[in-house]
Amino acid sequence: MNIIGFLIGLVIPYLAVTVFAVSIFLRIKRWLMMPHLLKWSLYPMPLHYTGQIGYMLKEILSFKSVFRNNRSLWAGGWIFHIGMALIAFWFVTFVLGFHTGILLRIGLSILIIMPAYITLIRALNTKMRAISSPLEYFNLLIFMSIGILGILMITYAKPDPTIIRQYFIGMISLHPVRPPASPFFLSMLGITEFFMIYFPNSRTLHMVSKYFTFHKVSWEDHSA
Amino acid sequence: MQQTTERKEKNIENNKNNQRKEQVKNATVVQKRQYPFFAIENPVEENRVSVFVKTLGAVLKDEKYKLLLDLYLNTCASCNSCADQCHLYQTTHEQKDLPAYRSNQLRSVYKRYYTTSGKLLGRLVGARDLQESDIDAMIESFYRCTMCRRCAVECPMGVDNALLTRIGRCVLGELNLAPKNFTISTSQQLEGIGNTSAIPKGAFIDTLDFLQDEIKDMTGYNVEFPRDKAGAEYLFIAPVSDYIVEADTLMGTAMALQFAGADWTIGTEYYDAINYGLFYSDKITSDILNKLLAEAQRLKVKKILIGECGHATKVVKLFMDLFGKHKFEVQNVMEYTAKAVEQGRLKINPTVNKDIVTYHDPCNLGRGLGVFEAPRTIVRAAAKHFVEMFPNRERTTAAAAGEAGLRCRTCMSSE
Ligand code: SF4
Ligand code: SF4
Repeated sequence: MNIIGFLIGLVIPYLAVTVFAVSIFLRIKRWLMMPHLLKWSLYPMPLHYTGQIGYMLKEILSFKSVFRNNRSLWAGGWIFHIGMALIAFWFVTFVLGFHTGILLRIGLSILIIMPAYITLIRALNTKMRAISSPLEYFNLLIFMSIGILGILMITYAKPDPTIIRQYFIGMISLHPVRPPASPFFLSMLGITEFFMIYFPNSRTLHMVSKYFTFHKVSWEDHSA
Repeated sequence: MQQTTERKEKNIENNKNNQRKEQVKNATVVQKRQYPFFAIENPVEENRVSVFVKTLGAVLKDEKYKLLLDLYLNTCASCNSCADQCHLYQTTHEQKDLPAYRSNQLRSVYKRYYTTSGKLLGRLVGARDLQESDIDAMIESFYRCTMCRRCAVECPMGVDNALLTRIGRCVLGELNLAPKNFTISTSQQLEGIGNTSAIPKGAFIDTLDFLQDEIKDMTGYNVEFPRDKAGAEYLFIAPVSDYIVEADTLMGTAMALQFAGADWTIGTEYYDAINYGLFYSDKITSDILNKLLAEAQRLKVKKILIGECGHATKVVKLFMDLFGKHKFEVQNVMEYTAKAVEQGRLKINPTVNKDIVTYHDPCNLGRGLGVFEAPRTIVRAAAKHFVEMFPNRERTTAAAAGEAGLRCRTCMSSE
């Protein structure tokens, strides 16, 4: 195993997971401490937990606001997030001993097509271009490259799934074993690690922060 | 040695020349600077960039905004859902009216000067060096937004661009960059005669007498506008301009309060509910609010009853705990009247109003305070045919008497 394989395969994964977890934990801790000094609620609001959870689930599962307001972006964004969910699902089942190759292929294809489509919307639609920073394109590029490398890996390198599984199980159980030598695999892993380190400091963090914008600001009822 | 000294002197001379040129250039810029669509009194013209950056820094450290801004400035999916909800953008279709674009104007300064990623990576992460022209663009942009919060209703990330507009305006306010009709009104309230329309106490009392006579002439009833009644349950306060331009509303309010059996009073030491500080300055919001609370304290009332459609009620309800030197229960007059109707203390004959009637939710009272039903209860009791207009409730577009109205007046005043 060369030094790059050693770093990307064995050292940085732990570093990335630690940075990811610690940064998110610190952010959440900070936002949880937010004092309710400025009252800035938005009415009407779901007052009970069931209503709030219902609203959140609907928003998270269907992207209903974007669906109502920006249908073309919604199509891209929604399918893109489904793609990520498919890959996450594939990963969990894979580690547990199943290998649904088709699921992985669909997920990775979505990770290429949808970010490309969203990139086009952002670049070609003047209204979207006006509010898109280079970072937005960069985030999409990260996902696209993971998708492309993944597809190239399963199409050309065809690594043995058992070796990959053993590697992941070894990492998770803190008994690391030699990572698969495929350059595609290592590149994919490297990009994912980079994303994990960078994620808590990017606006992609919205999946965490949106909980607080609603619960700590908009739904903080002061009329009672 | 001789040569080095000469070179040094030459350099110094060159620098001086350059400085002089720069000063002349700046002076020309200052002379040429035209503020958009509203007049500004005594704008700060020097070091605007550094003052802006420092003031934003101070806001970012302020306890009440610190974490909230950390949240809002770091959250936005750049999806433009807000644009479709913004009546302003839907009317103009101009880039500067995109809600997220406007918020990004503030975000780019925040990122550039107050985040590590922005300092290191600059434009890549949406950070930008603040330029004089950006400040001009912000003045225009932040005052085109009506702070109606309609966009917030549809933001999948729960971000309220109106709050960012307000913060932006507060920062500009520190450079005296605020519309003249706000600053003239608030300085009249705080340093002048004591109210936004500069109506002296004697004239105000005469107006109350006149309105009592009007009611008598119109209806035959003796309806009183009680004044300075110490220990009354309610201190009633309305925008002072309404006594002149919306006199019918106030006559109606006085009748409703009297017939419902309210124990109320008007204060003659301070009688203006308007608080334009809400739109551009915390300090002014607080100072004006405390004048109102001091009047309630002077009269030893139990509650404050506000007779207007939103911003004044919002200031007292939202900012009293934060800035107020005294605390009172606060109600909008519509909440009081609806309760009186429901309890049967106030009976209105709906057959008198035969026309079809609707109700336009003001954004501050509706989205901002959750008062949706009370006005409908009153209208239904007072008119036979009530119909909903669309959009309504939380999707209402800015009503004429909300901030949009202020902006309309602002526009008109400079044209
Ligand atoms: S607050 Fe109102 S005017 Fe301002 S951006 Fe939102 S919808 Fe538009
Ligand atoms: S709707 Fe919210 S998340 Fe989308 S662009 Fe507007 S502010 Fe950003």
